[in-house]
Amino acid sequence: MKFTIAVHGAPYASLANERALKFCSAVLAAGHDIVRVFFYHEGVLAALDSTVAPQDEIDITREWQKFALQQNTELAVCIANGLKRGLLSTEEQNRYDKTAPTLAAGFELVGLGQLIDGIAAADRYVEFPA
Amino acid sequence: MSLHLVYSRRGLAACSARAQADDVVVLLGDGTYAAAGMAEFPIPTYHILQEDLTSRGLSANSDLCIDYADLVELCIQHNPIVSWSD
Amino acid sequence: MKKVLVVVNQPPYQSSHALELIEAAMVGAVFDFEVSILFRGEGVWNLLGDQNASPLGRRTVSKLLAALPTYDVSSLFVCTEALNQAALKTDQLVVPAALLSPQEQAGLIARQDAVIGG
Repeated sequence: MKFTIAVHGAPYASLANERALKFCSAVLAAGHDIVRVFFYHEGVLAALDSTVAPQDEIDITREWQKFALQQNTELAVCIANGLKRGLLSTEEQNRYDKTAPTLAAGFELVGLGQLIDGIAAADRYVEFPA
Repeated sequence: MSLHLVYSRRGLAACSARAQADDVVVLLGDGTYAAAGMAEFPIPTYHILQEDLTSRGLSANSDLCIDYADLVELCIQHNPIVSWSD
Repeated sequence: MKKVLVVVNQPPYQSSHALELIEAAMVGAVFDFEVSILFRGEGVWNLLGDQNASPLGRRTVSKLLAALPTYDVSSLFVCTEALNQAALKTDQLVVPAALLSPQEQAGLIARQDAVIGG
């Protein structure tokens, strides 16, 4: 079966990201597929490259990056939700004349249509709220 | 049959009023604080995410407890999957 | 064509949650999904007419909702209990929404392919 996963909660304000990542690992371990992981609302903050996790806590941005690399999973950040919360790809940084890009490698800014496309392409849609 | 992912006690109240008899409920996150009071709600089948329960210092009948692999299997068996985080 | 229900249970303005969910509903309709929106809990306040969020520096949610029929978001539902708790009357709502009891909402949820928000 194909899953599309949505993450709605920010790191530290919620465990939505940690929970979604564990769920994604379990989906693949059971032999199913992930169409994409879509970050929405405050969930987009997981893609912020400039975060530094406390040493004894999970660095969720790095964990998502590792997962995406190993499993070839698409980490899709809603561009409208992301821009207003400070998520900038190099392209968007230039477009809006900001000093530095902030989007962590492995994540991409995409339109909200990719959430809908993900739901259309999947058998199951699972959301992880704040 | 729907699968209801419940993240809070208020979410449980909202969910239980909107669940059908053959639906399944999973308590996750702070929803696990409601585990001891489930008898108050007309929900026939429910499970509790073990790590969210035990990490909060709570315990429950082990027959009710599930892990992420079980949660994936429940998602396979049910649709739609609804989150309740009121 | 997939059936998607967007559930709004937070009021407008304190956070962008409701606004962002309504935006998702609009995009779903653009992609030819059969989109419904259910307003429940404090989410019913989004439907109140005469909102003007410009002093808050935010988009006015009721104006967005008034545009929903143009986006072909055809089915708007509101929780009867939540409407009563908010002491709102249907003639105060910015767009017509069908009243559903919690038990009727159970049936609405069961008919969906996916549920966004909660």
